[in-house]
Amino acid sequence: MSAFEEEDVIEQVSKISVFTPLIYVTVLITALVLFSNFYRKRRFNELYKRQPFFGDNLPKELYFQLKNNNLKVNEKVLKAALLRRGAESIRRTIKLKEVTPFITSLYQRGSIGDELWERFQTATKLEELEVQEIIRETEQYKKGWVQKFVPLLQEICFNEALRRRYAAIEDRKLDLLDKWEIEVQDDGKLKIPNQPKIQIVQGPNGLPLTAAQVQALAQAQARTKASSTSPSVTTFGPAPPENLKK
Amino acid sequence: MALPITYDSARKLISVDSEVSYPELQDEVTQLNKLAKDLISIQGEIPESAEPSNKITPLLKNLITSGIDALRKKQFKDAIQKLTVAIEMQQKRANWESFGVQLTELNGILQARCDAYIMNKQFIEAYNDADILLSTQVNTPDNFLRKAIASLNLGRLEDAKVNLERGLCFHENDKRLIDHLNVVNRAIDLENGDA
Repeated sequence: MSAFEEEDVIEQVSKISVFTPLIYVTVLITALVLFSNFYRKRRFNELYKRQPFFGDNLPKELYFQLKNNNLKVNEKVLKAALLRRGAESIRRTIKLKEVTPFITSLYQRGSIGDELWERFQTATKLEELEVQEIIRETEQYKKGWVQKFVPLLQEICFNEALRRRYAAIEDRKLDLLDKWEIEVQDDGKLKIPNQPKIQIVQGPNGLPLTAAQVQALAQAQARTKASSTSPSVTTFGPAPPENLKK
Repeated sequence: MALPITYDSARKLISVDSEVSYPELQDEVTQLNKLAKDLISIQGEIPESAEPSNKITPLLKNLITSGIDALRKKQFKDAIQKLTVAIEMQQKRANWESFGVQLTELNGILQARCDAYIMNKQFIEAYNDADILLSTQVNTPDNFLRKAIASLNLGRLEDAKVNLERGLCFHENDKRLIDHLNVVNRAIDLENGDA
């Protein structure tokens, strides 16, 4: 390259304004910020609209409502609400751990979509945050309670599940009877279909009659009825019902 | 959204507003009230451990023993009544008390009550008890047998067969299960007109 050409290049470079890189950087940063804002808004809207992995967390809502109540709520009631919130968190964590291998395997095989996979991952992260928050709350009530608090949560979670299962026994019984079309008597024993109804016929002295007496009574009543309607025809009384023979 | 609940500061109880029908919330509130009541009844600020209460244990043992005695004497109604009271007593334990202990207690009582129901021919109740037992104690042939007998007497022959076969998967040489499976198979054949 000759000396003249080198001078031309130097002249060309020196012509670029000092603001050009600044403008370039400003435009770039503005574009990135706008894109970031737009992306985050869209992502937030997606997350907001996404169906949660678990249903409503009622123990958590109850705890916050009691804590922010205008009335002064007893501290032990608040502690109980916090224990229940923790127990619910344990239940959800156990559920997530249970399904993790299956969901991972299904996702890797392509049997479930990205949406469910993301819902699952969001739920896992939320539960981690929830546990951390509960531990922070626990320390507010009593320093050092966490060591005793956490082992109790599992007991509460399992015991409540057992009680719920036992409490459902009556509803379950009615559902099964309805589903299987079975009827039971007041004493809980089964009503056998087509079982003849046993009639106890009382005599004039109030005592139950024997089968032979009932048969004789039925024949006599039939004869009386027949003679009043058609006296010329000799009739034999109707056979007593099968159950009365027994 | 605020939940439709009211706090009674005098009784330290939470209640769901009566005009609202929200069964899940009602269940939550019931369990919360029980836990709060148990927590208030203890002397310290917090439950120290999951150790079961010594107050309930002897009462529970007495009720279970008398229930089983009544069962041995073939007083089935009496046995059912006593064992049901024992379960109610067991349910009064605080929820933070050891789950292992509570589960063992409940299973023991339910086994005896299920037998009493079967002997008293209350098969739908027996079926329900056996169902709980099987969900908490799968590896026990007696529970499969209990559920199968209840199913058989409810006319659910296929259910009885399934339960006996499931029991035999865990205990393939259990003679009672094999005998009952033969009985159920004969009943199924009879019902199908094959016998």
